[in-house]
Amino acid sequence: MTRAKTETTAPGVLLGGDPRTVLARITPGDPLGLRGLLAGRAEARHLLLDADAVHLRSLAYCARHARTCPDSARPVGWLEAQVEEVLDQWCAEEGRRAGRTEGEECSQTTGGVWAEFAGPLGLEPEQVRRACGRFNLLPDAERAAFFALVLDRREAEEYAVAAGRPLVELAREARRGLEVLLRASGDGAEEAR
Amino acid sequence: MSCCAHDGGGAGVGVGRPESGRRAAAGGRKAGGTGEAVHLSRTLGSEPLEVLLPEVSSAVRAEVGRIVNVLRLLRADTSASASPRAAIPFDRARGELSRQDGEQQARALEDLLRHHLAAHFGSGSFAWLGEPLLGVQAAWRALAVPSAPDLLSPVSLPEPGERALSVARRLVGALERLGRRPGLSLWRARLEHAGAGPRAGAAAFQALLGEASEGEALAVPEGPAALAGACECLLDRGAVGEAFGLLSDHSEWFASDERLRWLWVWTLLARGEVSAAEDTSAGLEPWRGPLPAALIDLRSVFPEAAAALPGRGSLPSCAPPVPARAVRSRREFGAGVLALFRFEADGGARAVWLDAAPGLREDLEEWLADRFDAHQDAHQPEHALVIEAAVQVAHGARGRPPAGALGARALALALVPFLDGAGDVAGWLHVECEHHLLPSRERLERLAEAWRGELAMSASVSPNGVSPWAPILPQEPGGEGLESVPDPDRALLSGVFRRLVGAACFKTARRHWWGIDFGAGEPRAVCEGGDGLSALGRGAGCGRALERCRATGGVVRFDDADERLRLHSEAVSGVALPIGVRGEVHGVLVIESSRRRDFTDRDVERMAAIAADFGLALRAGQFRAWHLARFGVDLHFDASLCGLTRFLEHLIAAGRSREPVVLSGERGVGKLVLARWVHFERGGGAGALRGVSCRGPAAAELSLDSKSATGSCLLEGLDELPAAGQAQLAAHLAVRGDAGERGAPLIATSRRSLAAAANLGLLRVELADELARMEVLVPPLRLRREEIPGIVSFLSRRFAADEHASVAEFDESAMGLLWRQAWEGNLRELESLIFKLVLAADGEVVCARTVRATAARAGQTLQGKLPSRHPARADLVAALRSTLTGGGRTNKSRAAAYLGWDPDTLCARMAEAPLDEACLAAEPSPWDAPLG
Repeated sequence: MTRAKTETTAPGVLLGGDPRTVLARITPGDPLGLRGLLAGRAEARHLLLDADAVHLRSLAYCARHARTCPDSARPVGWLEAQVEEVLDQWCAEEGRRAGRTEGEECSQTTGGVWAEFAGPLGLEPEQVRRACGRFNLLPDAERAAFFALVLDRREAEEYAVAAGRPLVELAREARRGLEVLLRASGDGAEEAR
Repeated sequence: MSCCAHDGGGAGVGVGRPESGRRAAAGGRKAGGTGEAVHLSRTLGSEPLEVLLPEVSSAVRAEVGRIVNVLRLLRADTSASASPRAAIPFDRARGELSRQDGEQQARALEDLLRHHLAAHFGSGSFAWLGEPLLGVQAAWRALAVPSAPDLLSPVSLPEPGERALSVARRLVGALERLGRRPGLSLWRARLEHAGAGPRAGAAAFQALLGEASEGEALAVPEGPAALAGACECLLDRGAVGEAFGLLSDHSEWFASDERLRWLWVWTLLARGEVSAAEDTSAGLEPWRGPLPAALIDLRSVFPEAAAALPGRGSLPSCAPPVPARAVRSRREFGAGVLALFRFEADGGARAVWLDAAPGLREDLEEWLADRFDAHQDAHQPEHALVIEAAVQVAHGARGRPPAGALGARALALALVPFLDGAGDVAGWLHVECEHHLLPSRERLERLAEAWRGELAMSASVSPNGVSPWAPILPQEPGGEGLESVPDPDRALLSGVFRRLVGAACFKTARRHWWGIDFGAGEPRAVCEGGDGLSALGRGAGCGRALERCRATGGVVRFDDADERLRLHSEAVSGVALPIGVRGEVHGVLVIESSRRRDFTDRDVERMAAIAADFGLALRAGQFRAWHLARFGVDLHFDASLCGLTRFLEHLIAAGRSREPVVLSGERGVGKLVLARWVHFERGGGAGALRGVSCRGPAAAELSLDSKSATGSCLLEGLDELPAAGQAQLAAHLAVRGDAGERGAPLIATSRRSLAAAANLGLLRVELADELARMEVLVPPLRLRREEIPGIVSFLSRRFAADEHASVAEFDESAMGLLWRQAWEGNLRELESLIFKLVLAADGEVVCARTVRATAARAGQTLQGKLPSRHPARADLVAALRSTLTGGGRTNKSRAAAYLGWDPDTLCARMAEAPLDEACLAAEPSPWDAPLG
């Protein structure tokens, strides 16, 4: 996991006080390095997400639970735990959201990074968001294989050796990730029509 | 933002070989060393989509490729090297903080709703609200917002004594104030179920389903939950069929919802489709939530389907009991029949309310007629209901409805008693369903209580119409025994009970018994025995076991102290054994013990069978007592005589039938006594037995009172009735038949059988045919020789008592001489001679010479022996039966002496007959003559 750089401001100072006060301290400039922590954990867990939204959630979450930090002088482990919790919540919510069919009113509009990346490529932001929501619920091995073989286009044989598993098996797992996108594509096709 | 390879479209992915890609994708071979794996390794890196999705069209593959590119951008955006695209404004962060606070509160409110509504519904409901994540205290604490601790909680803590439903209403209000969120409409529907009942709840859930189902089969997130809620409401009110239909209509949701699958399993089980339920549940994860009480009850009904009924029970509802009301509609329970029965003064049960499904009304009349005395039939559930005074529940199966059900498709039946002031069954509620989900016992009992109140059942109407219980045992502590009270009735009846106790042969250590007689209508203890219970406390119990035994004709027992059932205050177990004839209880033997569970099932069964055998003896004793009191003359009946038992039972049945009864036989055979017995069976002998002579000219004008309903009318000498009288009698019978009036029951005696009288032209044929329906032929004494020794002994004692003389003993020669006479005058002639002998004997043993001398003085010639050339088979049988030893073996020497023969002659005649002494019991009895 990538360790994020933390600010030199004493964490105890940042995490002390009521949640709004804490939030006011940890939001500007991300002195706790939550964004870095989040990126590292998302990569390690092979998750696809709206990093800004999850970062925002992490900030509020840490502010709300700041009083539970056992050692404000060395909060890294605690911060990691909070980030993990936020990621878990995010994945569960996005997964539930993806399970709903079209037409249902969403609790949050699909804009932001989804619109920014999907729009130019002629894709519906909601379609991509649902695909990510379903993808994040796949088993870790399937997500990892997808990341390696599809997103990174790693050398297959080298990846198989590194993983210590048969390539065909890894290919099958990567395909399952693609099937999620196929399904999104199917929904998108319906949408387009 | 850094970008990974932005391939765009499908062109950036490259072109692969679909066939090899398919083989690679489908195969399961190890990498390396095979052609496919090598190809895969070469092509995957450059053409992953073509290799991994060889079967899709290029257009779709292109779209997938675009999505992949977006994902690469997303991933890059997330990467550690990327910095936030813009600093997060504090306002936005604060907004997120508030949103999370709201979410926390909402989850806490929902968990509190789960706790409070679950407490309200309790174990009697199918409602399932989900497993709460937080305990009650933690959930209340979670309502406090960390970011704004000074902010008031959205809902205040419960007030002291505040009901769970009231708190739930406030919680839903708080949830609504938090703003629109998924699931809120479901909570409103659940609240409706809790507050207004399952019918309102089902309507609320089905409204949500309707919204979900509009247009094409779209499913809002709440769809499966709304369906589950609707089914739970329907099952709560027993609408199993509707629940089944609703689930069937939405079966496409089963795959995504475990709760719906389990509801489907339980609905199948409730419909009796056990195999289907087992098959469906086999593939499911065990249900981890609570199981409603109705399903837990089904575990005992379907033990083989226990796997389909996993889960634990829950606590009873904390809601205050809803004031019971007398429910009148069977639809309240999803029942096929809802009926209310009440015992009337005549001892039968009649329906005072009935709601039956239209398809069941065809058999209603017959079914109601069966219910009238069902409590006296041990195979009907009403029997156990009255004995135990407790709810009776029975489950059937398809094609085998429970006993007592009206519908052939009934699967479950509940009988719920309501009790009179004395704690006995005064009536019951009958609920019958075509499924297995009966209402809970608690609910049924409250309903019965509501009906009891409505019918003003405080006045006791016991099954036999007698007034509330009065103590039947003498209350004086340390008082004298029952039989010390001079009472000829008691003496007559106590002998029967003592013989019964002797035959039952039960231990009396720590036990006490009472013989209770019902001959006079009210129960009366006539004798007692045993040494188990003290004199103190006698009669301190209510003795309802006695009354229930009488009402049902069944054995009533208690194995632990029961104040209502016992007679003695120290008794902690006991049994009441009915003694009766043809289903009517005439007495009860009560045995109580100071030990708990002192009577085994086998003992009770054995004693009950013995008690049943004494029914006729007791009834005969009651008749004797009545006859003695009414006419001053005691009678002799030996119910152990072969055939006499059957005869008397038929006579009793004739007496209870209300049809005219004709007793035909020679003069002096005892027709008058039997006519009095018939009268005795009609209302216990109350009312006059008005005699009307059919002899002489005056009989042409019969005085037959057709209006009187009490007493009986005895026509003596029917075969001598003049023609005019016969016409009048025929007209009288016709009027009674047409008008359905009963009037005073008719009893008639005739010296000739009706057929013989008609053949001789003495009686109109049609009149003889009509009266032959209940003709009883009384055999002459010469055909009943077995009775003579007993009659002689009885008459000797009776005349000695009447005349203050000594009882005459008869030696064998005297008895044999009396035995073999023709007795043309039958019993009267025998009585006359015995009377003379008693006076003549003056305490000495009477021998044959004395008998001859006394008879000669009266002008009677006695025959020395019965004809031995061609003797009547009946005489041989009678001689052998009359002289059986105590062990039941024949004594041919004595039998020959009775016949006046030598033993060799008897043996020869037996061989000629042929008569096998081992088959004596199979020989016909003179009392086995055809009866009406």
